[in-house]
Amino acid sequence: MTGPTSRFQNLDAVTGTDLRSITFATSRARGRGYDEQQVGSFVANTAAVVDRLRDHLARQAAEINQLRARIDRDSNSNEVAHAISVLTTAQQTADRTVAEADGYSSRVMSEARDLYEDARRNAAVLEQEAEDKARAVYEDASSRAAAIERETIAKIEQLELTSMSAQKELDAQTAYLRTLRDATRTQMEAFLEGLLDRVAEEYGRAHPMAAAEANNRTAQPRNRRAGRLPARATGAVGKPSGPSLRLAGMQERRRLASPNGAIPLPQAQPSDQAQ
Amino acid sequence: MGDIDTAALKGNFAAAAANGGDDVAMYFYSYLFLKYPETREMFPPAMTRQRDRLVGALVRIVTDVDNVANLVPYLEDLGRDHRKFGAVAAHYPAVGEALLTTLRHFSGDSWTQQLHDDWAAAYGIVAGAMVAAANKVDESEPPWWDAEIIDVDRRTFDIAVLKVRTNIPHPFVAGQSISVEPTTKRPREWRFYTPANAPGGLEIELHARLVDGGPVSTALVRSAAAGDKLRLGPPFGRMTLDPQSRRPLLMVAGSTGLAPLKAIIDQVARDGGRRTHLYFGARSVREIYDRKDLEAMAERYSWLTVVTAVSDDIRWKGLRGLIGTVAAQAGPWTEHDVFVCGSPAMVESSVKALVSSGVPESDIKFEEFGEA
Repeated sequence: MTGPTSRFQNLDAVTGTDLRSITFATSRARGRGYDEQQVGSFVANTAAVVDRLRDHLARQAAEINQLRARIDRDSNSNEVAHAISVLTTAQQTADRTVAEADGYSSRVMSEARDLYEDARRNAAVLEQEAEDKARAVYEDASSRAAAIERETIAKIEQLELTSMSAQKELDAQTAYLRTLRDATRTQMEAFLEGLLDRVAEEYGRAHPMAAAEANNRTAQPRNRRAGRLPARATGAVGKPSGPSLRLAGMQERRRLASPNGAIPLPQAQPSDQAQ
Repeated sequence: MGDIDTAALKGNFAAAAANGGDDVAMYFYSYLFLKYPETREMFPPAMTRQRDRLVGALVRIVTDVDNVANLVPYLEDLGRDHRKFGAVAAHYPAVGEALLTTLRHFSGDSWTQQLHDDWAAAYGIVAGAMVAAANKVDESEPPWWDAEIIDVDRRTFDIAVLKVRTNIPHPFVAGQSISVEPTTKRPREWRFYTPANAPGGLEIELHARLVDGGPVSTALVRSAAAGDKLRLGPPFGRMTLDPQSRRPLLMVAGSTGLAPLKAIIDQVARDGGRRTHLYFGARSVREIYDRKDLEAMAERYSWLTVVTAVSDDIRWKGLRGLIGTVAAQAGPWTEHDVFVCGSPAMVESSVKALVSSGVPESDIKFEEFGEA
């Protein structure tokens, strides 16, 4: 670049003085160049503007530096330190408050957890104990039930045995009673026959004629079967009061023969037969 | 990091942190909120955990400041995750200024222009990586996913199974975790939870176990109700199926560590099934909180075997003991891809038992459930 401005190394640093020092060569083609006076005054005005702007720029830069320095200073100044300490205190208060709340929640929860764990363990132990107890009760009950069953079966068996022996005893007693009946009948027959003989004898002593007749009449019944004797004794004998009196006497004789009232025949006892 | 004097940065950070990490973080946030009050609303009322997190992140960054290869993936995750807080590129210079001011404050007379410049340059790189990662996903996914609780099923007094529905599908992979903010009950508090179902729809099943005093878990287990709003962050975690592997699977879960493994089983089922053993461990019978689903899955999938063991309950008639030990004894599992998930103690003992039973450590993927 050639011309009056080519010597400006740095256009950003151009000053008013730089502009004023410029000289322009006059044009060789007279009458066709700029008015020299007008150019001079433009350059002068421009130089003044540049100077003002430079001034302004310098002031701004100084102010910026000043402010920068102040910011720097402020960061360490009491005011900033104070503000930071206020904020710090506020934050610490907030932290403590929240920490207390969280700590409280933590304590409540861990206590709840402990209680829960205790309850859980106790419940488990109780459950185990209950289970053990239940098992023991069950086992006890089933062993008892088994024992009762065994006992019952034994009893039933025994009962069957007993009923068999009872039957045997019954049979034996029946047989005994039959024997007793037969024996009693025989005895009774003998007794009644004896009684009739006696009646006939006494009667004959009082009325020998009638007695001979009566003896003839009773000779046949002596040969009759014992079963018919009671009928003869009550119905065929002449005076009804006689036999009834004698019958009472017969009972007394029986009592004499056996004071206990027990009939001595047959000899065997029922209890012996049961065994 | 180029010509940054990383040793000087480490030394300066250690000197500043010697004042007490919490005090340093306190000054940092106070300055940030004083100078840029609009950033305050991105944080919860109580800042204790937040300060711990900041210090943790700074320590991590400063430790690896001369190992960029290690640092960049971490920073990218961090940048991506910070979108859910409402952090935008414009906030990064403010944080940088607060960080430098804090370091200068705690450095006292040892602060130099060189330290200032090196920290500024280092922070520029950190913020750059975070912002770049955030910008990259800005095009493909929202900063967070709005969701609503549609069902709360309290299975025990401290475990709840939540059904939530997102407004648009969430891009997690089965086994990955997502951070959850109970916007209605505990705004600005986040904690990681793992979906218990494979992705594909709008519904997500979450298993929440109450951690005593944990703000998020308390809100989700004790006070959450249908209709509550949630915000979900982007997915994290590498405990996912290896797409190349066709080996049989062994899964060992303790308590709510079941959730990611249930999601993986769901995924395996969608992929056509694969021989899988799931060992689930609980302390007591009641803590077998998802029994119905476990039984239903074992019934439905012929390739799945579910084994449950209880460590501390005399009423339990099944297998007794720590689940890792029970699983290891049933081995060998040397031909299996192994997943372990549960409490830190459960994961540690399970991995130990499996490794000593002959499972190569490299075949085991595991995830621990922290606190909140």
